[in-house]
This record gives sequence, structure tokens and C-alpha cells, in this order.
Amino acid sequence: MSARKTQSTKRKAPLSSKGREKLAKVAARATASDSRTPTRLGRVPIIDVAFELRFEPSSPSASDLILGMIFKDLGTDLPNVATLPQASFPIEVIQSVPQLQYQPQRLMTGEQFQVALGPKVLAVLCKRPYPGWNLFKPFVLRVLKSLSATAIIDPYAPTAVSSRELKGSVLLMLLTGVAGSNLYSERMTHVIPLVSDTSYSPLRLHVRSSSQGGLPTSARTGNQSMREALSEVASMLSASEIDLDADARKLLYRNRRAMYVSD
Amino acid sequence: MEPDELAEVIRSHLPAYLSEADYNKVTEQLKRFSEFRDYYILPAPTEKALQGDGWAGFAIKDDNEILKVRGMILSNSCDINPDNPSRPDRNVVFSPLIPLSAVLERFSEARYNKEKIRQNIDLIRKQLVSDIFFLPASAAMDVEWTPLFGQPEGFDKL
Repeated sequence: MSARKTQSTKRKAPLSSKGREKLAKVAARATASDSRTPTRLGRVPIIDVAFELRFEPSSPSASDLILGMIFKDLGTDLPNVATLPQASFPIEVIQSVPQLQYQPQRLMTGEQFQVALGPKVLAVLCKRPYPGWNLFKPFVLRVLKSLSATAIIDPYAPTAVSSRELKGSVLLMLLTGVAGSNLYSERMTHVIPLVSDTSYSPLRLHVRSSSQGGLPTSARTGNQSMREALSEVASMLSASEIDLDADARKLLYRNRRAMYVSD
Repeated sequence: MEPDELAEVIRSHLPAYLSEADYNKVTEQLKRFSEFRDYYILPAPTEKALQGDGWAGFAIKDDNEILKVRGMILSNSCDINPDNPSRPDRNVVFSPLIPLSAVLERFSEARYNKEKIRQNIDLIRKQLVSDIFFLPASAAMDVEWTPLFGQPEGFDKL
């Protein structure tokens, strides 16, 4: 205990002038090395990236208002606006199902990036291949700046889900995989829907960003039902009784020319 | 092939990146695969014969009589365009088109009961018989046809 106190005291002691010089040199070296930090890897382990902002809207139609307002700033980069199937749910249903409130309803698409908007969610996605943080980050900041200018929600509000006074929560995810390994293909399976215009799901994002690497429950269910369906189809195809009656087959092939159609 | 093995083969050909919704769509379609088929039949005549084309005027000898019949071109090569360099192992035959009504009539003449006729015709229509193809009536074809792939015809010298 006393040893710890001594160490703590040592750390808090003011640096001598020599120490300050040394620290300045270290800082200078660090800055110099930062400038040499690679901005892109030869084999990029990041296969997809998504930035998600969840917010509490002041009205159910806030996302539509936001879309119109941010389009002014981002329309040149994201000129195509698509309505996703989730938008076809009646507003009463969306309000009663929390999961649907985090489903995007509109997708703004440009050459490199996409912005998905739902009743309580905004996500910035990028098309593959991942262009790198030095391009993705400025675009996210542009979206946030534009969003902030709308004054409908405050994207820079401190994040804490427990406090009802706080309006926004920011979630940033980098989904990675290792090329050529099973991990890559497994992650690929789960990551690709994120950029699909119809199946992007913030809920799945949470699951997939987990370092546990477990399969999302919904995906597992899907695979399970797929296997069952395939077994059903395979059984149907393999069934020996799928053929004409033996005598019917003979009947068709024997003297078949009588059934030909002459011109 | 055992059903489990076949299921695995089918699964291996499905894209791994399907979302759950897409998986469900595929599942549903697979379960009903024999009911829904989108046939792609072009009514436009082509000048050159290609695999799967339907043509009229195929000549076959039948008891010293020459029949000119309708048929579907079959080949062991997808590259039978005469403009392309000829391959020595390229073979082309044709499978005469038989109206499904003629098949029905033959079953009826053989005094099959209605249920047996229905079962056999149903199997053909659902493409469940491997050597008998079925072409539904469409804008391009006014009646249903059933080429018998089991015994195609060759091109006889006239």
C-alpha cells in the first residue's frame, strides 16, 4: 500500500526541465511517426464499416424531415433516394414495434457512401471495398454536421442510454474479418446484408459487432429453416416414385413418331 | 444420391450472403419449385440454330417416307453456331415436339383411368420426369409440348 502511494507521488511530481525536454522530443517523434502511419493496408482486414446514430425524434415523421433537410447538403454526393420495404408498414405498427423504429426506411445512395434513415436511426454506410478511415470519417462528420444544422436532433449530445434527457447515442462499428479464413467467410455472411438496401438491420449490427463472434439468432433461424426446406426438396427429388408408370413410359416411347407434328 | 447429400449439394450452390428475408424467399420458392417456373421463350425467329431452339422442318425418314417435323435442338455443346470453328466432338440431334394433348390421347386410348392419367400428366407438367421436358403454352407457343429427350432423332441424309 505504501509502495503504491510512493509510485503515485512520483508520477504526480512536476517534471524537471530536462524531463520536459525529453518529453517534448518523445512527442515530436510521436507526431513525426503519426505522419508516417500507413493509411491503407495491403490486405485490409476491415470488410465493412457502419456508423449508426440512434435518436429520440420529436415526431414520428422526423426522419422524413431530416432526409429533406440533409439532402440539401448531401444531395450531390447521395443523389439517389430509395424507399425501403420497411417504410410500407403502417405508422401505428412501426410505433408499436420497437425493432421497426430502428429499421431504415429511406436509403440515400451515392457513388461511395450511403445514408440510411429510419424513425429513430441514421446510419452511414459505405460501398465495398471499404475506402479507408481517412475517407469514411470526414463523410460521417459531414453527415453529422448537416444533421446538427437541421436542429431536429442533436447528434453531439452526450451518449448515455440510461438518461432520458439525452437525445442521441452513437455507435460506431468496424466489422473485420481475416481474408481466407473461416472467420472471414462467416463474417461475410453476416456483413453483406448490412449494405444491402433491403436488409440492413441495426439490431443485427449490435450482434455482429460483438467480439464473441456468435451467430445472430435470426440468422441461425434462417439457416435452420433453409436446411429443413432443402431437406424437404431433396427428399422430394430423391423419391423413387417420381417417374411415369413403367407402362406409361413404354407407351410414350413406342411408336412415338405417330405423335410427331408434321409441317 | 441420398436426400441429405442432395440437400447439402443444393445448399452449397446457394449464395452465402443471403439475408434472412432472402433465405425465406428462396426457401419458399424451393418448396414450391414445381409450381412456379418462369420460362423464357422467345418467339422471334433466329437465323442460326442454337441449343434449345425450336425449329420446324426437321427431316426424318420413316419407312422410306420423309417426315418434316417440329423439334428442339439438343447438342453436347453449347457452341453450335456455324460461324464458330467446328469442334470434332460436336454432335447435334433434335427432339421432336409432341403436343401434350397427344400424350393425353395415348393414355386415354390405353384405357388408363382418370386418376392415373392425371398423375402421369402432372409429373410431366411439373418437370419431375428427367427424360421428358415440358414446354408450357405461352405467347410464343399456342399449345403445351413435351419433347422426349430419352430418344432424340438424328439428322437423316435425304
